[in-house]
Amino acid sequence: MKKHLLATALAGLFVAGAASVATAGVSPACTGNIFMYTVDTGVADRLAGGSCINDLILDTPNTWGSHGQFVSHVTKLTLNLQKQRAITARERVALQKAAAQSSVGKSITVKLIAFNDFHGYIKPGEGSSSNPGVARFATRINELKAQNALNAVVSAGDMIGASPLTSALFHDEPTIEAFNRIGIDFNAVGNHEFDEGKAELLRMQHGGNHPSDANSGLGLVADLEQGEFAGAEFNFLAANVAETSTGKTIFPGYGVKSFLGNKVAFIGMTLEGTPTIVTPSGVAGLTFSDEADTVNALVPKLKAQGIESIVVLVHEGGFAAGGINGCSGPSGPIVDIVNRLDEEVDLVITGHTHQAYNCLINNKSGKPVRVTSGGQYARNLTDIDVTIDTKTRDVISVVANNLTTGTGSTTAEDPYLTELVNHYDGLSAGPRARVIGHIASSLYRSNNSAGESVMGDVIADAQLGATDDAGFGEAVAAFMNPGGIRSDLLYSVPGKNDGDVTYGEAFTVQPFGNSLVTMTLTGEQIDALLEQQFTGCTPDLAPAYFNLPAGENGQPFNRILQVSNGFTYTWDAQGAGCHKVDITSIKINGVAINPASSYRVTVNSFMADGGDEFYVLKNGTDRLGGAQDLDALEAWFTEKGSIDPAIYPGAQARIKRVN
Amino acid sequence: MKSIFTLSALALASLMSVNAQAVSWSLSGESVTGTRLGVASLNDVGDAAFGPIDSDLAEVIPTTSVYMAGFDGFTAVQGGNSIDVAMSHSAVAESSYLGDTSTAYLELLTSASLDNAFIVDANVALDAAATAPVRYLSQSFTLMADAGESVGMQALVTIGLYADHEEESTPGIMASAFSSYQVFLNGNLLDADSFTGFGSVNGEFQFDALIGDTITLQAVNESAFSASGLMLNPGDAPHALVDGEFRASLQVAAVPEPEAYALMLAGLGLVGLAVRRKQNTAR
Repeated sequence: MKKHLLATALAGLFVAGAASVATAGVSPACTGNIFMYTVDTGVADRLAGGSCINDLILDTPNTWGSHGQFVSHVTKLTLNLQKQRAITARERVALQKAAAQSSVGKSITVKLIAFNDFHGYIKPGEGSSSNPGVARFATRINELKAQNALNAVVSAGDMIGASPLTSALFHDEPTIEAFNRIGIDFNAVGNHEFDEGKAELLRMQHGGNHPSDANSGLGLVADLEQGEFAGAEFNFLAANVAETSTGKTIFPGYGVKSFLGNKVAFIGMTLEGTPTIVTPSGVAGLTFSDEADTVNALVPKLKAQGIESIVVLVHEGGFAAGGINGCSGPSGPIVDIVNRLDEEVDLVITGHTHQAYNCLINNKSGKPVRVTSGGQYARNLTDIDVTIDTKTRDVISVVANNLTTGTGSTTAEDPYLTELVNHYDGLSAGPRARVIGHIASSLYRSNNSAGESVMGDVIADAQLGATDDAGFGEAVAAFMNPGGIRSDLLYSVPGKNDGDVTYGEAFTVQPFGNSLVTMTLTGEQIDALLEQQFTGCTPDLAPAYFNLPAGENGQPFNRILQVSNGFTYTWDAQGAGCHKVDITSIKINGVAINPASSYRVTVNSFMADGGDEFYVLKNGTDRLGGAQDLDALEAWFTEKGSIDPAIYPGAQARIKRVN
Repeated sequence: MKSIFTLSALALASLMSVNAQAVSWSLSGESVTGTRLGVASLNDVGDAAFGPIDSDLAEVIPTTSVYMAGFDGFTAVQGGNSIDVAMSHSAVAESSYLGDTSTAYLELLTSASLDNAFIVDANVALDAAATAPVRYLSQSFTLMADAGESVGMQALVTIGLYADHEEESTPGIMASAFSSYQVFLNGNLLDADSFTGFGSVNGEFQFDALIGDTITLQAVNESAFSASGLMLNPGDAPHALVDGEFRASLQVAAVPEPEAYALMLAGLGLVGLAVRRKQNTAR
């Protein structure tokens, strides 16, 4: 009787790997006893079919998904050996018993390779010489993959968005294609995945060219599908992002990868506060839920599927000192999130803060859980070994280590990725040179004695211009941190016409891709914001509404915010800490502010979270996300046509200093 | 060789095409009973071994995997004469087949053997018998809903069955093997069959079920040999190796509801539209 196809397939069950077979014509020497990993069977090794029996056992770690599978393999192998008369009936029983007594298959170790906040930094040195580029990143990922065939590569959000020109110009298609080439498994959405809205994010996953911009679908043939952008071959995850109308998540909340039959679930999500730092159009119609509540609600569903190994990829993070593998004084939102997590969660891979850390933080049950972050821009990656008990399917150990990617000759580039980066670098040369506006002379970022620069004035005005309309923030003032202004705009540069401002130049001035955030502050909070610019403003000198954390030492140097036109004030260099600004001098369009009144003000997303030690901004209310800072700057140049610093309204005349 | 296993003509390939959704299996309770038994004597001087089937390995992973096995062997000695007997049996059930959760499977393996004889005296009488049973395994499988599905939705179950019995034994030793199964849907007997003798048989049958239903397979696989008063002389090397295997696969596919068919057709139409629009924009 002819065997049925399925039956034939079943008969081949549990055949894993290939036994090492001796080179033809040379019989290996089989010495000592046969071992089941560490268990001595008491049966002497011998030649069978050209191989030593010991080499047919396949007892190296990570070969079998369960102990039963290994014993089943030995049962079948030894039956054949007995049929060949290579072993006796009793020797077979001894081999089977030793297999049953061994630990083979009782656990597996899965290697997770994690990163976060990649932000499209595919080209080495773009933005900063510290950025290794995706081709070196690929080399490091491949090295780790080669160490363990049971692996998964995962990203905790902001893979795309706020990216440098080489990726941003092509709507981050180059970044998606780069990770398709590397081969990764999951990317949790972060806030920046929403920068261009839901439809664009879905296009990142599913492919197709951009509906209106021709800078799309320009990849190499190998990366395209039917001549168009192919979309991500890995899965985006968004457990806490639902369509408000249907309640359904826009991407799966979790993905499951099976390792020799042992399932590991990866729950992916962004921070609940995403709408407060993303432009409203980017998150229209979407609801963002609490991170810990979302995870905890999924846990029973996963357990019902027999899944006991649960990894959370969350685009929210914290801060910790002690280097990339340190964790002294962990703080930030991730601490509270992990403190509320179900104890079934085995590992939390985080992001958003661009910090690298390697922490243990207590979960809801008071048990420590590993919490990692790999910093930013492919500079580090986290190498995590997760050992799973194949019987209980529980994670029994997690060992994590942040590794640096390395720049320059430290780490070789993977030529398969270099090819892709070079392709887009060449394509971006033209757009980089696109003229977005003109200047009558150079716009410098150097400050006058009051702390104000022309470049800063223009940027602050651009940010107010982008957020003052009804429905877009109704802001009355904008504040720009000086550290975010990365370059001058020079009148004369080789390769362009004098007075032109190119897109590439503007990009260099504002490379971070921060989005704008408009919030409500009271008059006295605005005063506190200005006081927090100066050194010496410490908690002991400040009222509570300054929101200075205990132990805060104040600014390391005066960090004078650039302010929009119409906002004026005077500061006294001899004033005491937290008392350098006379609140009555603070005016908006000539009218003194009222300490108790509310004002809509715009800052960038970095400052809005208390960045650069402007802690009072963390207490700003009614937050609304806005455009990207660079888009606001380009729109300002489009509106003004040409900017002449000599006659620019309020140029370097908004902030006054006495003493 | 005689085959009385049920056969079905329906190809599995046609089933896969309607498997738009992914109903999956979960193990939901098992019971195993059975004792292995071996006796051997040379000139009425003998030895014996017996034990339960899970004496060496019982690994139960609720909902996903069950593995039970027992192995035993002994040597009967009389003077300078000796002979070995061994028995081996194992049972495996998994809720997925190589990661495919729409296919669950079950496997029983047995063997009984006699070898390694050293006969130094003339006219040594061998009496021996061994039975390696999995008598029986009762394993339940429950149909689980995946995303977008719910308990009570229709599903099509295909059960594939395969038995293979082999033996090699010297004249005077009687070998036998036996496989049987019963399939229950929510406790009601749907199908049953058995196979005695050597060779291999297979079969397949289908039935409608609902998500949430429990299908129970009760299966037996047994290998045995016996020798009675077999006269041995110096240099004789009597040998027996009987092995049996029984395998079953349980495959499930969701059956689209009538309105789902309509949606699928509408979806096909949309795909067609999308393709046409894409061609337009490409120009």
